[in-house]
Amino acid sequence: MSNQPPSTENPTAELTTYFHAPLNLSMRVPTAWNGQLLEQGGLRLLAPPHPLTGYRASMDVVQGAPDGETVAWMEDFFVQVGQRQAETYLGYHIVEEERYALSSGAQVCARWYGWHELETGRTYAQVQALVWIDAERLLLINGATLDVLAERDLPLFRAFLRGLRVIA
Amino acid sequence: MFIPSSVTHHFSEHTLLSLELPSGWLLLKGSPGTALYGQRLSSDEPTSRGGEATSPRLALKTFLLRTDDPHAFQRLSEQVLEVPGQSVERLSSEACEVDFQPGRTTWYARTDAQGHHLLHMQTCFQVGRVVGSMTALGPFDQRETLQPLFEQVRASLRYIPRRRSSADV
Repeated sequence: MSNQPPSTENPTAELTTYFHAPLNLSMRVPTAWNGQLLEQGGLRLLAPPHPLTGYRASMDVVQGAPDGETVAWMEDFFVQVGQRQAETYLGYHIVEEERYALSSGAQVCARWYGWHELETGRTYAQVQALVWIDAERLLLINGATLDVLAERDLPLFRAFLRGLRVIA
Repeated sequence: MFIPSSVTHHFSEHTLLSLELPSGWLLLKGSPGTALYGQRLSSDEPTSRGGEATSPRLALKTFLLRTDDPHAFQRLSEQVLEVPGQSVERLSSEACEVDFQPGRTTWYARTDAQGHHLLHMQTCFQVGRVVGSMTALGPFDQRETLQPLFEQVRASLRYIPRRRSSADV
C-alpha cells in the first residue's frame, strides 16, 4: 500500500488496499494488477497479460463534474448511456443492473453487460458504474474483460466497486 | 431506489484510519493520534447511572515508529493494559490481518472500578512504520453480539497514507 498506483509487490495475495490521492478514493484492488495515471487524476488498473492471448483486463476510474445537480439526473443519464450502448454494440445484452449506496454515502448505478466485437472476434464481459459523490463529483468506472475470463475477473470488479470509499 | 448501506463510513484525520460502523455510532472525541467512537446516549441514560461506562466504545490509535522494526505491533500486543482497581483476565489471543497487514487480537474479561463486567478486545497492527491499535469495550453479557460486531469493525479498518492535518503535525 502506498501513494503510488499498485504494482505486483505481493503476487500471492489476492487483494490489497490502495489510496488514490488525486481522487481521494480508497479501493480494494488485485495485488497482481498494475496502475497507470490518467488525465485529470484518473486511474487505469491493468491485469497481467493473459498467458495465451496476451489480453489485459482493465478497470478505468475517471472523475468529472455532473451536468445535473441531483442523483435523479445521474439515474436518467445512466439509462441514456445504456440505450446508446444497446444501439451501438453488437450482441449487447444486460446481465444485471444495480443501484446501491456505499458506506461513505456515495450512490452507485452499475450495469453488468456483454457484447461482441466483430473486428477482433472477441466477446467482452463488462461493468459500467456511475458513482454520485456530490453535485460536483461524479465517477465513471469501466471494467472490461473477455467473456472467457469473466469467472476470474468479474468477482474482482465487484469487490472493487463494493469496496470503494470516498475519503473526503 | 438505491439499496442503503448497512454500515456508515468514518475517517479520522487524527488517526488516518478509515472504518465502517453500524448506524447510530459516531465520533465522540478526537485528538492527535486518537479517535474515540461510540453510540449516542439517550437523555434517559445518564452517565451517573453508568450509561457511559457500559455503553460499547471503540478507541483507535496510530503512531509513527522511529525505527524500521517490522514486529513492533507484537510487542505492543503483549502489554496487558493494567489499570489500578480493575481486574483483567486474558481469554484468548490470535493472529489476524488488518488492512491485509499482520496484526494480533487479544480478548479480555475486565471488571472496572465500579464493578461493571466488560468484554475487551485489543487489536494491534502495523502498516509499514505506522503502528495502530483498536480497543473495543462493552458489557460482557452482550458478548454474543459485541464479538462479531467488533470483528466486523476490525475487518473494515484501512490506513489511509495521506498527510495528517496541520493540527496533528
